[in-house]
Amino acid sequence: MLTAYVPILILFAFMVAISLIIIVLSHYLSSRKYSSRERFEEPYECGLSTGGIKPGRYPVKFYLVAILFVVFDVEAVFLWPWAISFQSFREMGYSVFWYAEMIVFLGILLVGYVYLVGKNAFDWK
Amino acid sequence: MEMNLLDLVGLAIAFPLLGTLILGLFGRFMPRIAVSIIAPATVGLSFIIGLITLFVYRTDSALIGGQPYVSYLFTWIQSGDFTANFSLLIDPLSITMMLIVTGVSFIIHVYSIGYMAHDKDHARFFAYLNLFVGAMLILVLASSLPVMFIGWEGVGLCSYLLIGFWYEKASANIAGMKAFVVNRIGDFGVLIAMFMLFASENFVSLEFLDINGAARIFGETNYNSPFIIAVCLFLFLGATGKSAQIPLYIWLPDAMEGPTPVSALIHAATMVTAGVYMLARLNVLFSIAPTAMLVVAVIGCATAFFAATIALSQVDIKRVLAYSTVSQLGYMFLACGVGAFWVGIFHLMTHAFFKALLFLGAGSVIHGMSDDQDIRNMGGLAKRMPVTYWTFLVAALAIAGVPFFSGFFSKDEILASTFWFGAEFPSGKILYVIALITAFMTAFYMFRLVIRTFLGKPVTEKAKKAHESPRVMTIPLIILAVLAFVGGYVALPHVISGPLGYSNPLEQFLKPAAQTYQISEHPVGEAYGVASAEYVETIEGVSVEGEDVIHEAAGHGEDEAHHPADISWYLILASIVFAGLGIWGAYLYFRMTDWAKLPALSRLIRRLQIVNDWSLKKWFVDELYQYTIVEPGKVLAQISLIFDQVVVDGIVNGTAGFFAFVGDRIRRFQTGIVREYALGILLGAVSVVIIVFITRMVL
Amino acid sequence: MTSMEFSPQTIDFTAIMPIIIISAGILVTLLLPFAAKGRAKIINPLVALIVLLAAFISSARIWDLGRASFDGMYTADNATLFASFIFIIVAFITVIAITARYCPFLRSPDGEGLFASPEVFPLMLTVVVGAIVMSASRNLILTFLAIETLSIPLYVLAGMNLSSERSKEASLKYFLTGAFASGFLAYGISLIYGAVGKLGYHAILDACSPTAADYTLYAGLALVAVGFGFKVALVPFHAWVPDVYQGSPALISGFMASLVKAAGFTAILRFFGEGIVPLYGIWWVAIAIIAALTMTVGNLMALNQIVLKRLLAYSSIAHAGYLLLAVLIIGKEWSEKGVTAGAPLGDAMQCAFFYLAGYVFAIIGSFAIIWWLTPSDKEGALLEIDDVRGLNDRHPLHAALFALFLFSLAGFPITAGFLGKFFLFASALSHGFILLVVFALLNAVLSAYYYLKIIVAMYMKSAPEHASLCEEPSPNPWIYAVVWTCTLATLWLGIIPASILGLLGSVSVGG
Repeated sequence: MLTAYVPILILFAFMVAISLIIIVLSHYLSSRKYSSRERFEEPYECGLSTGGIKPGRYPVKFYLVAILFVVFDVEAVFLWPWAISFQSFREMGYSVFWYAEMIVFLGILLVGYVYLVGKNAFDWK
Repeated sequence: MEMNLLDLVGLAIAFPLLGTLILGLFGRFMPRIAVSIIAPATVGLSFIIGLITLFVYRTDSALIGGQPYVSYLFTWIQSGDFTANFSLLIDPLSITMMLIVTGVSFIIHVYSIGYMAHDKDHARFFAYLNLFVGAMLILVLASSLPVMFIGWEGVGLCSYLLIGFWYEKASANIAGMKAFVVNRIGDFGVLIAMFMLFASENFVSLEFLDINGAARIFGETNYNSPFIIAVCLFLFLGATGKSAQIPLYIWLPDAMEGPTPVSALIHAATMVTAGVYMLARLNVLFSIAPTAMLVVAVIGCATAFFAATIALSQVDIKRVLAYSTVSQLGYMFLACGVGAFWVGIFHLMTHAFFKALLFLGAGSVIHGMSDDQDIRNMGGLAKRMPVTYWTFLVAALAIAGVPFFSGFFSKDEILASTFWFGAEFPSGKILYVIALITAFMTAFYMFRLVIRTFLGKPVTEKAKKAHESPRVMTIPLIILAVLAFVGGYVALPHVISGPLGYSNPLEQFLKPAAQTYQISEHPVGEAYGVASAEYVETIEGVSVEGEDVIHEAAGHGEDEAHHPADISWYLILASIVFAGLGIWGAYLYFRMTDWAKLPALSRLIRRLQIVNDWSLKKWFVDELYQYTIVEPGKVLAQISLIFDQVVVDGIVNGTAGFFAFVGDRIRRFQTGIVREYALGILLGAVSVVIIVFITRMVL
Repeated sequence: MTSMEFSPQTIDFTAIMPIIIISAGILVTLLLPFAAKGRAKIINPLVALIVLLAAFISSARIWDLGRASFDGMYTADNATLFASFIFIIVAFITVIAITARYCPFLRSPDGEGLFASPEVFPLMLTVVVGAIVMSASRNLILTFLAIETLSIPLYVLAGMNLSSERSKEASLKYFLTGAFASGFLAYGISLIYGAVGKLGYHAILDACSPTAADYTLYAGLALVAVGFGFKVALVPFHAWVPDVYQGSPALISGFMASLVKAAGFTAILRFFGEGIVPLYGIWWVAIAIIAALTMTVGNLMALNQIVLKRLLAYSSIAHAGYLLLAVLIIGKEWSEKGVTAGAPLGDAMQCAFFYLAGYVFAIIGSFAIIWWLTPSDKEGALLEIDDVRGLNDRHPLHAALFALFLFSLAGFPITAGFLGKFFLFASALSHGFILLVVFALLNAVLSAYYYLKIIVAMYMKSAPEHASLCEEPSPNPWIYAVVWTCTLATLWLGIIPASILGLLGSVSVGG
């Protein structure tokens, strides 16, 4: 039974490994300057030069992008199992149903898209 | 259930209630003319439905012989094995009552347009009036005691609201409260009776048909049993409250504080007759309790007499009429008590016409006299208000029992019934004699009123300036005058109608629904120690078990066909003579200018002055109640007040303070900071999990 | 889940037709505003109303048929349908009332332009879909989805009044706490799945046995109860309620207090009654304690409130406490008898639904009165008892109807509230919850105090000297849709209960 979870374990291993590798790599590859001791007296005295506004603000567009991501990207998550289930639906004689389901789903997403256009969500000024 | 046109009758209730809703909610924003149209129109529609109902009922072949029809509307209460349906009962009795109520109400509504023309609150007035009609129709159409009780309370409420209609007047408020409180005593009786019937296993439901049906069977074994007598007397207690009989009549004269159309409609023509109606409706129940019937007859007779003595001396025109109403209601109860239920309803009908007319006429007089009600200030109004005078005169002749007027026939019918009752039950003759004397007094005080108000010379400036009322008020008077005249011809006495070759239509119509039922083994009169042999017909169309042993007998005294014609003629003559004596006496007493011609009589009159004063003070009954019931009640109330303030309030306030304190403490948890809310949820979740675990471990 | 062998045959379109119709309506009302401007804007609420009407009819058509869809995951039995009727009626009257503030030409020109955003209609329809699915769901995953479908639009609706800081505050607080509580629900569901391996209520019913010591399952159901408890505002998961109800536009508060609570309780009754009823012996203590806590804290907190909307919010919390009695009754009855599909729901379910119906109309009516009395939501959020002093002299109709709804909430005779309490308490008594009923009765007495406080202020006190917030009620005839429907329903249920009880008598389990 537990063998079913082996792929997840591998995934976890990969995740941990990759993040470790990136951190380690950046540690060695980035340039560092110790030109003055003052850097260490500033907040977050890890040696990096600070920059930007302190209470960092994200532009509100960031959230819009996040919402658009739902519309344009998450549907792909559903398209995948839908596509691979075609065979079993056809065997039951429900291929039209199978197709219609996805059309309805995409239609709903399309409405969301039209709504975003109507709300000028793509107006990036 | 197939649809029957009779089911329309529910609409008759709906229309006035709809009127109340419209006028109560939007009346203030509507123009005066709209209110004046809507209010009478709704009642008019109900009247038309009443006529349709009568027509359909008479032509429905399935409903011959007074068969009742029950129109089911909806299930009102269902609780355990108790079910109360909201249904309406349609039979001759309810149709008659419905027509009287809606007809008279319609006329009085029209009259009120003129009478209330200058009142700023007329919309409220009409809303109440419509509500009253709706409630009254529920009362007379209800098919069961609980539903009837809705109407019973409803009309009581309207009565209270309308007596106190001019709420700026302190006396009106007090009178309203008095009426309400006294009525509540009666309502208590009805409730007790209802509970007793409900608790008894012999009575399966509180539907009127079931009560009467069960009473037929129950009466076989428990004729005149204490239980039945108690139930009937409690019901009668309710009737004395609503219909102003001894000992609960005291509220009615005070109720005259309300607008006069209200006095006419509620306190003369319709609501106060509810008690009589209830007795007629439960005729079988009362029939198997002769002792209770005797009480009803005696109380009715005593009230008729007693109220008439008070009416002799009153100086307020509406108070005279109020005591006269009490007296006439006494007659109706007398009729019911001697078993002539249909006669009671007959008198109820004619009384509705002529008493409404009297009150409306009085209203017209008051209107013309700029709100003066004291008859000592009037006089000579006949010339200034001719229509009012002539219509008032018709009503006065009717109530006095002058031949050819409606009151004559109905009152004569009551007197005759009482006489025949007395024939079977000797000491019952006393009732007849008292009733006859009351008839004399009735004629006397009515003509005293007519003479002092309309004849002679004007006594005051106001009386000189009196003017006739507008047409919207006089036309209803004329219509009622016509009714007060012809109303009696629907039920001519047998001795007259028989030779003319037609039967008595009202009796034919009403009798199946309202007459005395007689148990075969117990002839009427047995309870009084007298045997009666008159029980013949089998009940028609009433499907109860043991039908073969139950027989219907013509009520003693009411079946004149069996009575010797010559005695009947003597009885009629006696009524005429006593009425004539009354009128003549009034004329003599009040029109006599030269007292010196009869010194002996003059002296006698002066001696009687003390009696007159006492009568004017209503025999001090109000004072008697004041000192025996109200004052001790007040003392008791005072003691309770102290107890309440010190002990109860102390506990209550202490408790309230405690909770307010606790509430204030726990309020501190409501900080308004979201992360503390989240902490609350987290702690709550942990607690729930822990509680569930502990429960499981303990299990 | 047993749906490994799911097949399209198990989809019954008549059963889910109401939600299909409303969903289509959501899409239409979302896009319509782009096409319609000016006076044509009226078409948007009109479509919403037509959609609700159609959903009502399609629900009524399957009354008594006991349809189910998705392998019994979604059931359109009479309990679902009765709840759906309540949701749809509430949404219908709310939409009508809101229309007046959405279409500027429908109201007097001086009013404040609220609800400029047409999204209010698709959002409300989404809430209704969520509510219907919640009451129909027999699967924890579907229930979870439905709760989210219901909640997310509500977060937005709470903040619908963009000109009010309080409205925004309400929206954010509701969202944050709601998201937090959803976490518990999801965690609970996953624990149950971990313990049982199934999520369908009937599968859970078969799998759980009161004798096994399965603490994962117990923790799971406790956490699911927490998630539900948040939705219907049980103590101690209630803290958001006063802030949210006060800040949201009054009608939306009424919408939340009525519809959401009804949906939540239908779902709770279904989960506890059809899912984990064999474990009654384990959960009843917790539920009983929460019930007692909820009514007491709700009432005690309401005692000292002077802001009307907060007072009503606490009152709605207290009512949730009374309603928990129904959960206990049903648990006790069914754990003893065992659930059989198609059996009548018993008087417990009947009285729970009757109570809900009575409560729903009284509470939304009360909030509607506040919306009616104040020119804008800014005033509405601050309306105090002092402001309604002597209201009867100034606006007698407002006062009379408000009094009626308060009487119903307090449980005075001839209103629905009285019979609701009466049936509920009587049923609880007959099932042996004597202590709890005594407790509830004491609470009912306590609550009468603050309801009467308002009525006394309206009828027996003179108008305040300072300018009152309800000096100029909005001349808004559209609010009649709400107040008169609620008046009618409150009196109808209170005077002729038999008509509704008859309908509820046919409500049955399963199908």
